[in-house]
Amino acid sequence: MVDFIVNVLPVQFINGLFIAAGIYLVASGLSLVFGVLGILNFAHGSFYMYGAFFVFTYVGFTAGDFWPALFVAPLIVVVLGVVMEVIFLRPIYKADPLYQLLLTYALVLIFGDLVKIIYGAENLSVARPEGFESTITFLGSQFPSYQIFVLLPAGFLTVLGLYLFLNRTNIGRTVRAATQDREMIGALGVNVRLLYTGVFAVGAFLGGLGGAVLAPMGALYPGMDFDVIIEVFLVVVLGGLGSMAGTALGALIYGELKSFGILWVPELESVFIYVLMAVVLVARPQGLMGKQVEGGH
Amino acid sequence: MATSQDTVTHPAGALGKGQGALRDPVLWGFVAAFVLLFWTPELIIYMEWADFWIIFLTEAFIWSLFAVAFNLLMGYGGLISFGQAAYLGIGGYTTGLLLKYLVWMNFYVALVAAPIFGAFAALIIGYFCIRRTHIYFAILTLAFGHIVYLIAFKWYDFTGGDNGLIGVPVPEWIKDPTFANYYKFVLVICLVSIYLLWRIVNSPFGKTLTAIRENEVRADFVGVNVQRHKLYAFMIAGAFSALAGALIMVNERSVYPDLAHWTQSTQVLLMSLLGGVYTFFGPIVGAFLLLTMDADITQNYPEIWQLFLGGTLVLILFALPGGIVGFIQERDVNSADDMATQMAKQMAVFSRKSWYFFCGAVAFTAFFSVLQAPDSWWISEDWDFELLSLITWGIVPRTVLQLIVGAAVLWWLLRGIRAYQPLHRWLLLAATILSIVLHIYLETPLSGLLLVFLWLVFSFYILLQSDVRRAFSDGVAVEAKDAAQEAAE
Repeated sequence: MVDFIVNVLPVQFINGLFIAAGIYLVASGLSLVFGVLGILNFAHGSFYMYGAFFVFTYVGFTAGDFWPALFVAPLIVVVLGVVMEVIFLRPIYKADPLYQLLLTYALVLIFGDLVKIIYGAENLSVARPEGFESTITFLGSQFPSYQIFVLLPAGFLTVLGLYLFLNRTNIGRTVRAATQDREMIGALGVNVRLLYTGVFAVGAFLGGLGGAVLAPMGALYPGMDFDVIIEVFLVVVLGGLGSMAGTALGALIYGELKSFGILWVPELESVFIYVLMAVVLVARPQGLMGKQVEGGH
Repeated sequence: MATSQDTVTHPAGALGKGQGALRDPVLWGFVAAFVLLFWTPELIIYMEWADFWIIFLTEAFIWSLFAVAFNLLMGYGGLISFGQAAYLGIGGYTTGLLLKYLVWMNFYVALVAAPIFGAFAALIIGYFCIRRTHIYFAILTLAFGHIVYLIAFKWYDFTGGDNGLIGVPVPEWIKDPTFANYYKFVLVICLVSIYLLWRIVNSPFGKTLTAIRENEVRADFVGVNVQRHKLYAFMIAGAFSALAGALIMVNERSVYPDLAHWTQSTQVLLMSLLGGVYTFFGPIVGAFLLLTMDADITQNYPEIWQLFLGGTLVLILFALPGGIVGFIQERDVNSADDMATQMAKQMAVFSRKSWYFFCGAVAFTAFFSVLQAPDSWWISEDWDFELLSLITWGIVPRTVLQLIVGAAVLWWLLRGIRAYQPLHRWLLLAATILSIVLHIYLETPLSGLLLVFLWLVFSFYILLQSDVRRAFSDGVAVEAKDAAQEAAE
């Protein structure tokens, strides 16, 4: 027992933080877009996938130059996202939410096969950047230094950055106002169309950034978009759709549950989160920190 | 969905009070379908067509049942389930595991166990899912569907994991070399099940479900137990989906986790949308159409199947929200239009045009794929027909023919859009020409069609957007366009 508390608990907790940081990077963009635009973007997982694959391409072209890719890849994803928003989403903001859902779902299928056509169906991988290949010893255990020095700060900075952006800047305040009342914000003279495109671009950037940061940690394959989107959905439903703090909390719970679940039942670790989600939905249908609006979107 | 005025199809006096089931014309329609379809295998064997057709029809009936069951949720209940394939998997694994591990298990008992277990699973999953509506419902069904897939995929000791459950014992009569016996078995089960579903959607229960779809709050106010009705609908859909899964399992005598994979949910979603969600028989049309496309594309270009599905979905959503059967049944909207109705009407005009184009393109490419591929499943090998000599014409006459057809379609298409800005006209023209050129260049029947699809969606869409914007900014352009349309028609 003592051994568990001293040795296993902190290690698993930190491992859980890694998972949480990774999933938060992706989920925050989805949650932000949903909060403002009211669209649940199925294709957000595709942004994640494209972010990762663009890193692969960039690193391949520049022969191992990893760091700029963290910025370049998400930017290309942003271009993709803006094109998608302007052509497909703009005209349907007032349509039935299910219609919007189906449309973004269709785009998932298209994006998915395009990746398969461009990159092939085999697993690809991105090497960890120089100096971060090894592990470091911390609390008497070995941790991959990439996770410690890149992933965790990236997740933390995203939480902090989004918080400061939404609460301390004028644009952020406008964005938050748009989550409350879209028509009023338009009547007050804000260019809502531009705001929507901007928020969607930020969401796409976060999705692409998630993919870029996570790229060196696992295999890249067509279909990773769908694997991640289900997890992201779990996280945002758990935390409450549209609530940024809820997403962070959901990601944290998800990460820790997965990390500790793997200790007990390695094969069915992913089942725990579903059970928890089911419990939360019975007790608090709007999610842990969601607004008390039944039905809604 | 967008066209909620197209509510449930309900033939006049179909199920009037005190008439009894025998007076229901739809029942006789089913009987007629049964009589006509029952001897199809004999016909296929007599005509010496490929056995493929018998297998194909068997699959198409099973998928039709699945699609109709799914549409009970989507079309009648307004609940879009993104994880319906879970029940397909549950049904397949229930029957498969029972037959595989219990030696004494009777085949029919194992088959009946599938819908029962499917309904039970739907009861548990539905208990959580129906608590939330719309987007939440979609997410939850997706998540629970994925968990069913994960269990089938990871639980090696029980389900065989990704190796699947192979060599499931089935009765001897199913294993006949022409596949005719199983075809007939499936035909009977599917027709009876679909008829049951027809009775269900036209029962007071079905009507209540539709009322809930239209206005949940109001239905609640008049005393309907909304949650319970939704749960029942979820269970019914789950039961029939599981039955379809069991039938697929028996057909292949094996079951893999892929049966519960989300791509299967996508297919059934698309079948419903393609055929028409607000119609009862639409999903059957959609199932047949999609399986036909599937047979062609997966044979030639398996890697773009999802791209094709996605492109089709976008096209349906933008151009044909009511689906095929919904489109045929579409009636004109009343006058005294507000702006929204005007927009809807403009949309409908575009739908119609793109739809004609689509039909033309399908017929056109189907024709050429017959010409191009004498060995494929379209014709059996020994079909000695003079048309085959056309193939020796080679590529030049084929290209010329395609260009003529393409030009005719273009001319027809462009006739109606003179009222548009020149830029948009050129855009459409360029997009269509490019798609036809690509079509010829790639020499492919259906993937060429896919490109036509995508380009049309893009060009129509850009066109439509500017059009709607203009409708708001000045009414003159709209009037001019209406006049032009009247002149064209």
